[in-house]
Amino acid sequence: MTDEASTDSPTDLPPGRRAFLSAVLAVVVGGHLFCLLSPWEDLWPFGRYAMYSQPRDPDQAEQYVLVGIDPEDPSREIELSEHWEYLRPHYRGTLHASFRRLALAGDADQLRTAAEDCLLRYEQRRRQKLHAGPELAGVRVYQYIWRYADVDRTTRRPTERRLVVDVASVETGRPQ
Amino acid sequence: MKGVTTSLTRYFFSPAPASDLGYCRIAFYLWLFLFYLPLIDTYGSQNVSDFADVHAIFRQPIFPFNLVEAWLLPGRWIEWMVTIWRISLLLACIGLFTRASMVCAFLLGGYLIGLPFNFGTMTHTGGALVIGLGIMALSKAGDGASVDAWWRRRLGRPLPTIGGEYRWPIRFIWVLLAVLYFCSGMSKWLNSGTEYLSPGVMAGFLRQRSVAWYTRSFTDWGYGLADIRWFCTAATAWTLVGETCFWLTLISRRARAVLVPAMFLTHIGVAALLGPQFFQFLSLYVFWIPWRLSDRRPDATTLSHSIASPVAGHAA
Repeated sequence: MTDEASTDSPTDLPPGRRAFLSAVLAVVVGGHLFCLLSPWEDLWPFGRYAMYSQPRDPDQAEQYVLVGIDPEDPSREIELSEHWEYLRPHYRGTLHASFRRLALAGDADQLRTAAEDCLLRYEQRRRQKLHAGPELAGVRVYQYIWRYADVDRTTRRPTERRLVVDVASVETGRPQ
Repeated sequence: MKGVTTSLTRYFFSPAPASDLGYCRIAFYLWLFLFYLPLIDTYGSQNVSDFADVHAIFRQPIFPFNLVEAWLLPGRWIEWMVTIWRISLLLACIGLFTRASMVCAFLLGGYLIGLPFNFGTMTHTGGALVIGLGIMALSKAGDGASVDAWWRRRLGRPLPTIGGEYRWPIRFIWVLLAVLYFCSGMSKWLNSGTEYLSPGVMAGFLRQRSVAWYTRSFTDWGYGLADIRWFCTAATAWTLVGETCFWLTLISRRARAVLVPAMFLTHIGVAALLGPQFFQFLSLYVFWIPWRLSDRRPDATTLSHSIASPVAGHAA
C-alpha cells in the first residue's frame, strides 16, 4: 500500500457493506490458507496445492491407458484417448485417474465394469455419428510404464505394458 | 491498529472510476463466453452435459457436491443450464441486466465449472474462477461501461461514475490470485523444501508429462529440455520465486509490472511444455490491466469531489 495513487478521501461505502465484504475476503483468504495448512484440504474445493508440489519418480513414469481392439486384427490397438470425441467427457487424465483408483482398490469387477462402460460409450457415440472412429472388437486397459533410460526419444513408446483388463465387445445396455 | 485499518480501507474501498471495473467486466465475461463456447476442442471447454450419463463407477463427488444426493442433474437440465449460463455471461459482458446476469453466471458457473471435478478432473484453477465470478456477482460492475449505465443516462437517472464500490472487486481478485500463488508456492516449500530446486524435479515433470500426458502440450520440447540442467533449475527456481513472491504485486507497482506478465507467460510456458492449460483461469488477469493508461481518468481532486457530490458521487 505504498505506491498507490489513492486519494486521502474516506470511502463512501457504508460500514455494514464494508464489514460484509471484508468478511467475504477473510473467508476466501482463510479458506486457501486452511487448504494449505490443514489435512482436510478436501473441505476447501477451490485449491489443490499438493499437485506438482512433490518430485516425480526420476527414473520412470506410469499411466493407465485405454485402447480399442481392431476387429480385423486383434493385435492392432487404437489409443482411444488420442481422440477427444471418442469418449468425451472422459479424457486421458480422467481415465488414468479412474482406472488407477480402481486398480489400486484391487476390484477386478469394477475395473471390468468401467472398461465396458467406456466401450459402450464409444460405440454409442460412433452409432450417433459423433465420431468417425472404427468399430471395435473390445477394449483393453494397460498400465504403461516408461523407464526413461530405455525410452526411444523419438517414438516415446512405453517400455513396458501390463494388461490390467481385457473386455470383448459388449452388447448390453448401459448399467448405472 | 487504526492506521492499518485506515490503510486497508483506503486500499480496498477508496473511490475509483466505475469505468475501470466496467472494462474489466467486459473483458472478463467476454473471455469466459468465448472460452465456454464449444469452439475450442479442449477438456476445459467440454460440454458438461456429457457427464450426466457417465457411469456411477467414475463418480467421485467432491465437497460440496457430496452434500446433496441428487448432485448430478439430468443431461437435459444441464444443457439448459449451459445455455442460460452462456447467455448470462454475454449479458454480463455487455452490461445488460448486469447484476442479475453476474449472479446467474456465478450460481450456474459454480455448478458447471465444478461438475467435472467430480469425475477425476484435476486443476487448481477452476476454483479460483468460481470465486472470481462470486466476487463479481457481489459487485456493482454494471455501473460503468454498460448498457445499463447508458440506459440510465438516457432516462435521466445516471449511475455513479466514481465510488468505493468500483475498487474493491479488482483488489479482491488481486488478493485472490496472490493468495492462490502463495499457497501454491508454499505447498512446494512445505512438501519438498529445497529439494524442489534440484534440476531433477523439473526434469521429472517434463519427462513424465511428455510421455504420460493428461492433455497434450503445445510442443514436444519438454523431453529434450529435461536434459538441460540449467534450464530445469532456472524453471523451478522461477516457479518458486514467482509464486511465493506474487503477493508483492499487491503493494508494489514495480513488482506488478514484472510479476504479472511474467506469471501470465509462465502459464503459457506450462501449457507449451507440460500440458496443463489455464485458458479460463487467465481470464482473471484482465483485472491487472491498467486501464488508466488508455483512458482520460479523473484525478485525485475529482475523486475527492465526487465523494461530496450527491450526483457524481456514489450513492450506496
